[in-house]
Amino acid sequence: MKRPAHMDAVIAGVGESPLGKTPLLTPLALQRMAAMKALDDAGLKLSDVDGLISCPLRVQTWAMPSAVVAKGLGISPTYLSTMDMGGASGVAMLEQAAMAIASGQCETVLCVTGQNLLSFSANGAAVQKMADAGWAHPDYEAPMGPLIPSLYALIAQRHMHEYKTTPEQMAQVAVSIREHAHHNPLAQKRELISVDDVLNSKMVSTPLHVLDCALVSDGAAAFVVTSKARSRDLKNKAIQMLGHGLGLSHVYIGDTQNMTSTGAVQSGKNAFAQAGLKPSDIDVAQLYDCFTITVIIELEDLGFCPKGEGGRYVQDVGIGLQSTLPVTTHGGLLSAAHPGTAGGMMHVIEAVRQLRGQANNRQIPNVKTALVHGNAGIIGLHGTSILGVD
Amino acid sequence: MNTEVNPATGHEYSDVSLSPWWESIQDNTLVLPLCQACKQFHFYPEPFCPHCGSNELSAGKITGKGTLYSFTIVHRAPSAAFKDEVPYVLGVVKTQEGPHFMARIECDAADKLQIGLPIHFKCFKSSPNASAALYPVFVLT
Repeated sequence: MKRPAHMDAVIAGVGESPLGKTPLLTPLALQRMAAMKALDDAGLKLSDVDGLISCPLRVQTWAMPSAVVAKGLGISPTYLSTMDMGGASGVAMLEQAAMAIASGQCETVLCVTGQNLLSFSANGAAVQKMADAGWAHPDYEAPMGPLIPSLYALIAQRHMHEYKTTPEQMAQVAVSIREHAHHNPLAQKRELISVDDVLNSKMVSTPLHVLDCALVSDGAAAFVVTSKARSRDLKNKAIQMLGHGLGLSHVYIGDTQNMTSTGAVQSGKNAFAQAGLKPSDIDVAQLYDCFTITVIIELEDLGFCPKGEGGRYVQDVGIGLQSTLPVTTHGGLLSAAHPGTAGGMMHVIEAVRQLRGQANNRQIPNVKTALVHGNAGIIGLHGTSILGVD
Repeated sequence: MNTEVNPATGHEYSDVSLSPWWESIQDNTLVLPLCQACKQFHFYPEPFCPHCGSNELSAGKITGKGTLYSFTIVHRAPSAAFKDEVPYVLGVVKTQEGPHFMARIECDAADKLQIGLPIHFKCFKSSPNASAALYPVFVLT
């Protein structure tokens, strides 16, 4: 077997902009703040960056997004790439950065994206923009009027039918993740909530209530990947990439033959195989939480519990900070922030902080391995990374 | 149905894969892309059969019968165009012929809806959004 590219690269620095509602900050301003924080965290300078990976935005159309961001930062990297894998972009950026470094095209890659998704216009416009963004089939689904939550609601309803998953179990995901956000001073929503609060919150698309759904936020996220050789100079402990995996099952939820088993089965299997680890070896899991049902299905498909048991696992074993496997410890998309693809990058940032022991009040003791999972589209495209620290 | 020559193969191919709903409006029946080579239906439409790769696709009439694979009642409109319609039911139909697709489900009482119930095609309706595209409506059998 060929030596995987990530064997020669490490995560050197992480950072995010202010999150939540930042009406005065443009996408480039937010991205610059996140980028500078990540570089400072690494002990590197903007002039050290010779590779840049960025993503398209929802709030405005950029031709060549990575080039626009590079010029916005005032740099001319030798490697540029635009990543467009929705919520799996954060995880996919890590792997791509490592490959770019291994190929010799560059030595230090800045991965950054973010936008003012909440402030660029009224919330209603953001919802409409996302509903029109192609996640629903433009000819065969969008004309009927689905929200993105409706597309995930179809999955939740089917999961309830097949496995007797309950609205209370889904609500528990939101409650636990909110508790994590309570300990994260950067999070957009920090007030504690109960299962009843979730069940009594406004119904969006049955069975999903508004508190079962991700936030809409302003914010940007960044991380810096550099060569192992370079990692001796870093300010903080270098984070190793142990394994990556990708899995695709479908694009449109309406035509898939099996809604409740996802590409996470394959992405997880490949990441674990590459890392030489199994689910019980993982100390903390930053699972993509666009909706409560997403976390339940990822727990199953990544092998943390048997298929169909995700709801009962959340209720009985738990995903809180004291549980066997704490999940999405920064507060995730449900409570910390969801500014688009930057939201999935924040799961990477939190994994790095947990591995370094820098997660303050929400620190899990002795974290040696962290799993990060990104989900894109309507639960169809998945990326898994397993990270570790020496 | 329009036909033109596929420059890749020199054979004629139809554009049925691009417009199966529209093709069927005249008699209000459902047709899906049917592959002449492997005799399998598929949906959503692809320019080549996703089962065997053939481009010999035709319009295959289906019974319009199936079961409810999943559903959701939409309470918040995705845009102003749908504001007067909420709440409405979106379902995924599992057709007798195999393919799944999304449809509106009309039902007098939402608590009657259950996954697995038999449903059948009723009619097409036109979207209130800018596309005005037709979509299929199914009802409980």
